Amino acid sequence: MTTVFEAKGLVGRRTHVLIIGVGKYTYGIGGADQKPETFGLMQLTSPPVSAKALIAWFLGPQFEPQRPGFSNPSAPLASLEALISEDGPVRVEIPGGERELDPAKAANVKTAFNRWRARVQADQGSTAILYFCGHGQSTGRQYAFFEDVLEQDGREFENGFDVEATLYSLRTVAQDSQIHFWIDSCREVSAAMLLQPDACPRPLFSASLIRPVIAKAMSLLYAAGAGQIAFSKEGQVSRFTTALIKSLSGCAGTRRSGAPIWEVKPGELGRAVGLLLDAENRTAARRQSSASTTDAECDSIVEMTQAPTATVSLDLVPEHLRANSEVFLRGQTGLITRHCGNGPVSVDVPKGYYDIGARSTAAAFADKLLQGEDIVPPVYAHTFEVV
Amino acid sequence: MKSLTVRIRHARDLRAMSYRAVYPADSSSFPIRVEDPTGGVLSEGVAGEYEPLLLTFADPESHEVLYVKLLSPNGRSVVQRVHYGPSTDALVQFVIGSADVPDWARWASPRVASKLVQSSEISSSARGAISRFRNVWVKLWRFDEGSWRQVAIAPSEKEAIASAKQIELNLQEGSHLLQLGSASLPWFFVALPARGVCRVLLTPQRVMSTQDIPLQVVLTSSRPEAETLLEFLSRDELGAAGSIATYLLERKYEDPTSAIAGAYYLLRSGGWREIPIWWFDNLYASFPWSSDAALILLVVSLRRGLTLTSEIETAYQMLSEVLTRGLPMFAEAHRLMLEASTVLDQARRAPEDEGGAAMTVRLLAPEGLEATLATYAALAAARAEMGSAFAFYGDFPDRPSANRQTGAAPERCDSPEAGENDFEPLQTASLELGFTSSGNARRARARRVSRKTATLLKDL
Repeated sequence: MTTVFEAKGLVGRRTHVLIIGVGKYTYGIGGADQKPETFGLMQLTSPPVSAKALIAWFLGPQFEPQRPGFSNPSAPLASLEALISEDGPVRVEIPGGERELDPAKAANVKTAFNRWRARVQADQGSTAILYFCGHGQSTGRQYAFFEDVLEQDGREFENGFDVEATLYSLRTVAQDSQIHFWIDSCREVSAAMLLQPDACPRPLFSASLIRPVIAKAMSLLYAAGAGQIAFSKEGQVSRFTTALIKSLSGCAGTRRSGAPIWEVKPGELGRAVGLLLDAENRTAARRQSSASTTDAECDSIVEMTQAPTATVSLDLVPEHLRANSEVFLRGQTGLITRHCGNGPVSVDVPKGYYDIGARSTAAAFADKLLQGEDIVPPVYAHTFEVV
Repeated sequence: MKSLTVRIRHARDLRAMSYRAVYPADSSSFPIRVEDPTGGVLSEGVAGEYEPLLLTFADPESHEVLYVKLLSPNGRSVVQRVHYGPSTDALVQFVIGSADVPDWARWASPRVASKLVQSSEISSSARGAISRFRNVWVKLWRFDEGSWRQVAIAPSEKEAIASAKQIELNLQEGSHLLQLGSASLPWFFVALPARGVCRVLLTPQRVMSTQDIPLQVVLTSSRPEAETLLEFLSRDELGAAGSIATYLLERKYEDPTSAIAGAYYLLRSGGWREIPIWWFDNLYASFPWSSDAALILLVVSLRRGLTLTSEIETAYQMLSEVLTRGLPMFAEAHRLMLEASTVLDQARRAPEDEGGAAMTVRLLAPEGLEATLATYAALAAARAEMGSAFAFYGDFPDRPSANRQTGAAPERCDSPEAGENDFEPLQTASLELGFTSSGNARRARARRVSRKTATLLKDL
């Protein structure tokens, strides 16, 4: 079973999601039926966890409205297809119970994709989201691999898909739709695939040259830059998917003009994911940079009624002046003042513009003030240097 | 009703009164966004040094305090707060750059990630010192009669400060590439503007992403709005690009850079649907040496759908023509080359039950299509990030490579038929792709024919 969720009776613009997570590679290194030539494809532990996390995020409010997750009254969740490959059966929690998912083998993915595509095609103006997490390689064009890649000798890469070609084809059949692909995989260039272009995977759907582009907009968000690698910790949600979920949950939110609505659009989503990964790069052993591209202004993927919050961390140096000092923050939440004798002060505030400053209660230094600081989630940090 | 005026002033040394005649490209315009305290966008527009932005707000109660944000093409933004008080008018002025940046480098200030600084502020060993790259070699290539030839670098002007070096080149019409590399800098190519005076500024780049090259190459052909637009497109900043594009599209295109930048924006924004095909035909015909113009027309044609067999034939021919015109100038072309080659490649491979006319398409595909597609694939795999400029890694212009090779400037070994002073292109080079060749490359008696050598950056 791949249909995890399907809402009936919705009218207007709707959102259809397809999630694919591949951790088990039957013919890869350490697989149950390992091939002599594996092209370096090993078993992965993060993609099933990452895919489940994203499924849980999309379904959250379906369990109870207050649970964090996907929200968009202008384009509510209408369907979710999911396939996950890992050792043993894969079950996910759904409203009213559990569902066992089909493994992400080529035939299953194709069936689920066609079901998802049919819904998108039938729903003029819909939002279509495809998420993939697993092995990927590039020839300049990006390819993603399913559980049974390497199965066919001589056509080793057949059980995968051509990411860009699939997206370009969809544009010609999804009237007024907005199509978003989020690809959490490596993008290293594969010499084997470059030298055998005929062996590369095909798109999940091929369009004819006759068809014009009829979709309204599309976006493509990659976990890694061209030729680069995507990372995750063993058995944990990947760095990209963590940043993706954070960004969708509000980090990428901007306020709609003239309305108390915060919306996440693809351009901002790409930027927020990039910033979160950059922030992690400061301490991570290996750097990862995402890449995104957007065609045409899109409607919001997510809409929220609450402003996203940022953690503001304020400190001052030299340390010996902290004892009789306070830092403050002034903006839409009023004036917030904190003593900083114990070190950096953290305050959560809604995104927006704030004046921040530091002053000494013992007149040990001149007041410091920064006016109109643009506080953007997830974190804003500033250290006042006072003399 | 409240009003807001946003002015741009470029910091400059007023003693250099004649600077504008010499360096007009620093007078660029910038997207401006006016936001309320929660970050909600109230208004957007473009402000330039000679065209301030004038805005009015109908709801004064909720706009006591506003934040005016200038979006810079280097990815940064600058914010100023406006507090109206009892007044109904406000003026905001942004000063671009600093007065201690020399006039010749001022145009680049909004486009470089690092600060341009004078000698007194930086030691030669510092991370931001251009002298770190003194042993970088540089070559200039020109596409001439169907092949790439190395030509001598003859700058008409040279300038330098501690953090940057600039050369001015006077280019003929057509496709040019600048190639740089060293023992630690991977060999890469950057496409230069089409014709006329082109300024090339080189400055160390703060490495932010895994894709950044540590030496930033910034180019101008003195078309500031078009170049700003392309920078925003390369950063996927469609909103900011839209403001500049509106400003640009209201003016006549009189030069290829502006026309091509406008067309690239139309393709990104969806605006291509509203533009008649003859506009793109004119672009293609007006600049017959422009690879970008051919690519733009090809992609528009594909997006409109090809209904006649003659249209399909033409599309495949144009896929090849993009390359026979040289190479594109702008990074945006990487996306469109991928799109065009993917769509045309897949159309001939599609099963009959999906794409329908695959058999017909296969019959219409011209000879040499495989080599053309291989070149597209090689360029996609070799893509380098250098702002809005079309850039890729490789050793020779016709051998883009995913491998990031380093070392002394490569010299081509080729057949004895090659000219004394030129490099004959390898016919199968594009298939090599930086990896082990399939062995089809011409196995002529190799002989070194290079007479031109690379120039070291320190000698420029």
